[in-house]
Amino acid sequence: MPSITNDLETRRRLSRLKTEALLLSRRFGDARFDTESGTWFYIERFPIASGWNKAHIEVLIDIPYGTPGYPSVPPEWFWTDHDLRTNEGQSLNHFFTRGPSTDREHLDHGWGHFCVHLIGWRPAGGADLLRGHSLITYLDLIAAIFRDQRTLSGAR
Amino acid sequence: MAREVDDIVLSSTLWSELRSHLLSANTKAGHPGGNEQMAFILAAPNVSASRIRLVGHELLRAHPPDLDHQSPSAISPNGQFVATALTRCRREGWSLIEVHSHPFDSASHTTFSGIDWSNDRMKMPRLASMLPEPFYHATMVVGQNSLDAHYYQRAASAIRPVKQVTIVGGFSDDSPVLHHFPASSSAAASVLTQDARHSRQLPLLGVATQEALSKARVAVVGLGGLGSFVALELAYLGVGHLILIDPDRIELSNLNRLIGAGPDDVGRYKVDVFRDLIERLAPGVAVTAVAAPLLDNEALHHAKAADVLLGCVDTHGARLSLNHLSIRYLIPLIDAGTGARLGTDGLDAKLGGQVQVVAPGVGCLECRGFIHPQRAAYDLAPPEMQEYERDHGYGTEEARPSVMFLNGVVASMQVAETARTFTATSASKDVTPKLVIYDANARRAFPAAVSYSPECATCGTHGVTGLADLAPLQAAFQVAPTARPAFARASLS
Repeated sequence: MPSITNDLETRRRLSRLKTEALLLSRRFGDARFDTESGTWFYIERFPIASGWNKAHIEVLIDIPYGTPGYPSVPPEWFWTDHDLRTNEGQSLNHFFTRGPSTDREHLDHGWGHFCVHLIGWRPAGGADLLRGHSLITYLDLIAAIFRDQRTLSGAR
Repeated sequence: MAREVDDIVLSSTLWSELRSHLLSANTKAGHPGGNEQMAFILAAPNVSASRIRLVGHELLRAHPPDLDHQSPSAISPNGQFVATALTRCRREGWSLIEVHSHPFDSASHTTFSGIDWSNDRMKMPRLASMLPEPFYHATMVVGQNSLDAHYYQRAASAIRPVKQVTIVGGFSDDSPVLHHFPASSSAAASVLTQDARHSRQLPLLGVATQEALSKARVAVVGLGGLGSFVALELAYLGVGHLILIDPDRIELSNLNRLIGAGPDDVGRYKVDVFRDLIERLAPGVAVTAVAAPLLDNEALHHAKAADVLLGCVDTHGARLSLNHLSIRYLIPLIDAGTGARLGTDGLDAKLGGQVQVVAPGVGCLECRGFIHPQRAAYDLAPPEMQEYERDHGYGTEEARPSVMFLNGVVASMQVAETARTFTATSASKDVTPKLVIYDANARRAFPAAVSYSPECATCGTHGVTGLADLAPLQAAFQVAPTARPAFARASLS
């Protein structure tokens, strides 16, 4: 099986991720991405609303890397702290402690897999990442769902 | 024998900008055409088993500061302009098309001058030695009413003619999406053979269209309820070469709508069944059958050689892939779909469909909102990820209802638009609307307005137009992602 080559598609994806990392680092501090193949994007200290047992979480977003891939294909899965709980001790909905078989390494390191869709994904073109959807809007969605901890934790 | 570059393919947007730069510039007294102008086009190759096409990506116009010399009969760029373009070719992998104008030439057979030939004989071998394969180098001259093009073939160390320049996309909402300019050096006289088989449709289509269809290579992607009709109708219509792509075998539940297939075909690949049918019904049609999904290497290899793509698929992943294939390789896509929603509370079922044209400058399935992003993401995920998502209740979908008469109507509309695509000329009034909706309940079809967004991440200004083989399609499962280091949790280890 060939590895992802340094083809133009990969270079385009890396260029976009680099721009998004620059924009996001202004808001969240350290923002990193897979500079070789563009398959993941990472925020080390992502602030979440009160009501959780942590004020910041790590977020590692899976970037769709086929062709077509991101941004035509939206991000849907991210990894975050396995031990995240509400103040009442409940864990998350849509949060899976068993990831795909290929992602064993993350589980072993204390991550859980979380699925969230941005409905009506319309990716921003390369010229202006603020006009349309991007990892910026995806992280806004993640921030929004952490504000709604009752739904997120499955509480009724 | 080495394959020839037989086509230079440009988007209508790039062609408009190029033509405007070359022929609408300054007009000097005594020289109504003005000075010669020149530009470079950064292009990507589209190499398939049967042909090589150079696909235009970006226009680099030469302005006065970029020129050493410019007059009504000659032009030469300065070293800096050339070096900038060649550096991008070397670093980014582009091929190069040099274009200049002969504004004084309004003949129908514009061709290269002796000086042009002399220059090309000198610089083409030199460039070929500087830039390794797959670098291609072509030159093109554009007159007021015609053009000529040739390229350097490494294998023969010779300059060969390019057959034609193809313009893809619409100049406006009602203009044709496919237009060919024959290169003067290659223009062959039309040879019309007596064709009794198609004699009853010739008065309707015209000789030129019938001839264009007979030379056309059309890929039908998806051979379900829609694609089976489409493939057979195109064969009857007289398309010269059909490429059939579908990974599935026929199941008993398909037999309500796969026209021409019967119980004995259950278990056979759909493409094999329809290849056999077409060979019997229309033996003059060449058929390439590929029993694989579109993102399979062999399927892509054949699909990208097509003049037109017909989308007859029923998944959003396949539709998104076709959309990218069309925009990346500048191949018009005529996409169709049907839908049926069962009635509730005693209401009738809702039936309908649509046929639409995708090409640069007229919009694509993504900016028109015809792709469901989540379903596409599921369809395009690696198999182990799909299994994982199904285990968690994502990506599951019941078989959708489908009925033959709906497929037949929409498929025929799709074939009619295909014929119009080969009919259309810039002077034609019978042009292809970009979206036609069929409302089966109201028993009517009507064109609908579509909008093109220059900000579209796929077909917009900064999208993927013309990337061709420099950014080929590939399924996520065909590549192994680099390991994601456990950097984030270093403190845990």
